[in-house]
Amino acid sequence: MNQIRLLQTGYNGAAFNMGLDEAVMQAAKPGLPVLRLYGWKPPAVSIGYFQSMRDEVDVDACGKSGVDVVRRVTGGGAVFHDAELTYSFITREYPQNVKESYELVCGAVIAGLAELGVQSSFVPLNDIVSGGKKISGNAQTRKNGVLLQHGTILLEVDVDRMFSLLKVPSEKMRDKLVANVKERVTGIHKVFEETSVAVQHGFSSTMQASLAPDEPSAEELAMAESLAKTKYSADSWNFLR
Amino acid sequence: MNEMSYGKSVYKADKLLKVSLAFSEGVIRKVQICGDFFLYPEESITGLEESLAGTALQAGAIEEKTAGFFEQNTAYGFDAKSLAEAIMLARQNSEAQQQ
Repeated sequence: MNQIRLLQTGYNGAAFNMGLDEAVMQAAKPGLPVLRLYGWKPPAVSIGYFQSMRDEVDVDACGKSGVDVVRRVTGGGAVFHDAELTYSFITREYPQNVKESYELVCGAVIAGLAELGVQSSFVPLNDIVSGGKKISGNAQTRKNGVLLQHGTILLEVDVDRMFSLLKVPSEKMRDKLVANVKERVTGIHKVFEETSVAVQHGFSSTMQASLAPDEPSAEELAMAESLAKTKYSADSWNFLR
Repeated sequence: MNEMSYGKSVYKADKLLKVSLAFSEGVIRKVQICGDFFLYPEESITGLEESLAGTALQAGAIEEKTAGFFEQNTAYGFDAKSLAEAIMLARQNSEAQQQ
């Protein structure tokens, strides 16, 4: 049977989390996809590769609240990472069609959530919705023949806090934007551990592979720490655009 | 050379485009394209921005200039037409600010 290398790396800061995703991606072996499950402590705001940190994030408010900020290697929008389970799926074997690859990986998340009694569906290009509301945002990159898709599974959502950390076009717009997001986004109201187990099952069944629990190698950890320091904590990266 | 003008726009394509534009004499001098879109490979955005420098600030010219880029790279959330409209909106916003 095929295997998926399973990494449960717990809660870490934003720079390390993004560094480890990149380190695992660089170390990806043919025939051995990796499922990484993790959380964020302290909470963090991540922005998409093409976004401007200054335009999207109230960096001062984040600093005062002890919230990390980081630019992802993937596109998409700004995300406030707090009460959520985050997954990364890294593989050298994947559909070349972008939508198909999103659908495949999101399908594994959807299968896992069904085990928790959460019925959800894939909305192209990169969302998972339940009851008409978004419960998961996903983003992927492809580099050197490796696909990285990471995504957030929202457990609870604090929209007011999220908007206290993000820039809005004008203060007049803030209440309207908050109300709009409250209408469109929700959490699944489950805890981290049970969601993690369910998502593992979802990947195993969807990919028809057994899970091989593992730890990041010493090389991956060293690279993650180096990337955390030199790239994901650096203004030259985070304020690139 | 005439004085440089600057404009910004927020344009709702399938995803949100945020354009910063510098132009003079009806020609794009520099443009930055931000937003929550997807583009593969990501680093190709730099080439797209650089290719627009020197292009006439007209929707048709911008579309024509970027058509090849969108054939060679995979973009989700925007295309040559919406990018041209976002850039023209930045010009419009710049001129409205000057008045």
